[in-house]
Amino acid sequence: MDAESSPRHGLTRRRALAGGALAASGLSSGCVETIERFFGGSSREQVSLEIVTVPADADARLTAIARTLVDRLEAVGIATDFLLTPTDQLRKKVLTNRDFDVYIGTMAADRDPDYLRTTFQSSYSNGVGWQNPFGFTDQGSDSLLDAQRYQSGQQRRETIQDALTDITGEQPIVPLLSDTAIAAVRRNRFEGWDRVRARDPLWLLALDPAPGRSPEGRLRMTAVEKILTERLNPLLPTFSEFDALTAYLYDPLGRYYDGQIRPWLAQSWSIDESAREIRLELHPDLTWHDGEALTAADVQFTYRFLNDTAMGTGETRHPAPRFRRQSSLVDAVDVLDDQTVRISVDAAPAVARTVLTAPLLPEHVWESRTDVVDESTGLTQAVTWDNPDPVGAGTLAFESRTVEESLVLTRNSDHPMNREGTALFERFGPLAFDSLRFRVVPSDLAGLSLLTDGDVDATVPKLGNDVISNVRNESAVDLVTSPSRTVYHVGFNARRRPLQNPGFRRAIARLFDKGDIVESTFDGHADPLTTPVTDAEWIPSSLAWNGSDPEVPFAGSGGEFDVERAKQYFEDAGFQYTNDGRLVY
Amino acid sequence: MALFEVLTQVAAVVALAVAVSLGAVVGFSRFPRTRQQFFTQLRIVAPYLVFLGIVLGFTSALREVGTVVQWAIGFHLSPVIFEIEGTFVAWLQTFQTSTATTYFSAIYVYGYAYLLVFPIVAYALADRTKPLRLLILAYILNYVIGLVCYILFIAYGPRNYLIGEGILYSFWPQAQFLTSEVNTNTNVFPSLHTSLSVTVATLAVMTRDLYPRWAPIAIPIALSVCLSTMYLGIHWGVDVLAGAGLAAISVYGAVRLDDHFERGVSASREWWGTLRNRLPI
Repeated sequence: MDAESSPRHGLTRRRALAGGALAASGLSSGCVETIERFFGGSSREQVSLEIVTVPADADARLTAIARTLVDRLEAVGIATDFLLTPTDQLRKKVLTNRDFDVYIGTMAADRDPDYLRTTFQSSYSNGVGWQNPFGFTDQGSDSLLDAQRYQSGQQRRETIQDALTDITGEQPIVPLLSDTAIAAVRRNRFEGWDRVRARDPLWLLALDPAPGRSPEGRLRMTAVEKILTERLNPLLPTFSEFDALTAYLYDPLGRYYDGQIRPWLAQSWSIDESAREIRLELHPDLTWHDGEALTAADVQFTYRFLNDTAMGTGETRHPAPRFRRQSSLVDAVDVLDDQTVRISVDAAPAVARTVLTAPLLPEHVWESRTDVVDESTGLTQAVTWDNPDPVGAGTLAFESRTVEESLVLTRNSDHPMNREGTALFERFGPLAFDSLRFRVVPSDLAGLSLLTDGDVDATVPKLGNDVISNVRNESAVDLVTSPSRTVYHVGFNARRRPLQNPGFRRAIARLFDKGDIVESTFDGHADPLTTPVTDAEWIPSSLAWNGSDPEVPFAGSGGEFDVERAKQYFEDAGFQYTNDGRLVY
Repeated sequence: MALFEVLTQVAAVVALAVAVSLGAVVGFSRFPRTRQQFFTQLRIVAPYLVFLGIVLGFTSALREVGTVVQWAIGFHLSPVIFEIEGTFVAWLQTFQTSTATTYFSAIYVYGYAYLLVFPIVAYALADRTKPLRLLILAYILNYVIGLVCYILFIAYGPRNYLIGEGILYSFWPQAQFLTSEVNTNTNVFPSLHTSLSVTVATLAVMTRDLYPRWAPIAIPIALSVCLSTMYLGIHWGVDVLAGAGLAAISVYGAVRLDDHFERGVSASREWWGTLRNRLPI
């Protein structure tokens, strides 16, 4: 255990205020200061931050990172409130209410770096969801991120690299690492667990029945997040990257596989580069899960709806936050006939193709979901309702659920992947199981006990260290591992003092020993990150991991935290220390 | 399945322990008792039992609603507790041994269930109803006040702050199928394990004339339960202190309420008697 994580004593001022009678023992000094501050006294204010993350039950690694941060912040004279909330509450706090100082969490980095545009551009900071929740503003990266969407090849790569250099210089977030996606599986009923990355929506679609078995039966999985059984809305702004479920229910026109975005519900397409148009044909005889025909009109509706979920009934547009990036690129969708559409995209082909990854929505279900629920945040019914009986066109259809307990999906036999003669059938089909059941378990370890008993076939690909070491002792159970695009990071709310100060954010970034977090907290099951992008081709060589973070190296060495050096960085950022070691401003 | 297995196991162990201690504590000389006596006592105690049933049904039905209300109005208490006691529980866990882990895990699940169930049976077999009435009233007060605290305070236990480790669930993962059914991880303040155990132990001392052998059994088990909640990383020291406080309030409240009810009953009998005398029948 670190020296600074010894038992803490005394109370911070914020606590003394909040704790009331409970905290009576620490009131004396804090109270005087509070009064001075209230009456505009001369004493300067101690820097004080609320650090929020999820409890160990939800993700012990996040809690561990936060614990170390809290200890080190206290060591450098910053008062802290260490708050835990469940995953959905944390997301609501950060992504909807923007009511936070510093959080430790995860987000999904898109395959295409155009995702940086909606995540970090200042013009998106008034939205909800992952649209610049940090309130980050930087003109340099703003214009670079605008420019890249019209570029391609080496030129685009360099623009992205420049933008990343700007962004990491400012540290709106501290990217820590991407974890290894690890699931525990049994191979006796299904095989092919290693064909696709485990957090890719195609993971389960690429399975085959074990030798000698037919593509029938039920695939049984465990999940720790109860929310799976409660909300199946693909437009939820607070979606979790660990939840690929709506990706089985709702399918897009194109999906990324075998090296690029390829036709999925679209049968084929052609891109006219100069006209910036995509002309595409749907598979014949597509249907929604309720039996209605899926036509070009639904494609047109989907993009109009994603662009304004109030469909013109609100005072302003209300784009669906989760697919804001895609909808912001689409100028128009024209229906040429029942199976053919033309999409006008305001971007070069490399980026343009990515608009096809948004899920298609049935017009007859969603056209009545246009009410504005909250004008101040711009949320509409479309993005907030629970969608209890989801109707999509995905490979799996909703069957039943018991809230907080289980969820059952069944094979969609009309899907091109399950229809002989299609390219998707040749590549993936048919689905290896006829139904998929998720069972909610109280913890990964509890889930593992079901797996070893043979009651389930796999866990979701998000296991922690304790389970991993236990799996190694079970002969019938295997681990499946693959890299992920999940970015473990520290998010700052740059709307608040003193977090608007990039020097202060950089000083906090230096409290993290990323290499040590990878080795000790993740047992090596992670890759350190220096930027919010995971694929090396976009990362400038000056920002490549070199055993340490080249931009904001750890204030310490050999795993030892150097308090004095860390304090120096805060002083360099314009803050001062009192005689008793409190950081003030 | 998994829940059912754990539940059956707990029920079997507790039933056996209750049966054995009935012989040792209550003594077989007490039964059989007359049927008439039994029904007389049942009539006195019945309203209490019904009330307890309602409270238990109400609290479990309210759990889901309670969670929603908690997040709407609740105060985040665990950051305060963390400030106050820091890594106390982690220090406690430095004394960890495999024997202690087995002992405290068993105490937390089996010992606690036994401690709650046995006195109900034992007091029901007594020749007076007051001990059972007090016990039931004290249980009710524990649950009601506990529920109010759970709604008012959002508090995660030390294991969720990674203060020490969640020993119970790594030692015995299946136990979580049971505990997650009866509680949520944001309800640790106060420790109901502590308050109910201390309640039982306090009443055991108060009724030592009736069952002299019960207090020497109840007190060590109750203390072990209190210690186990911290040793296993489930509760903070502050939760345990608050739990002991809740027990004191509940027992005191039960005594006062029972007095009040008794007076109420005799008063209403008197009132009815007076009324009947005046009626021209």
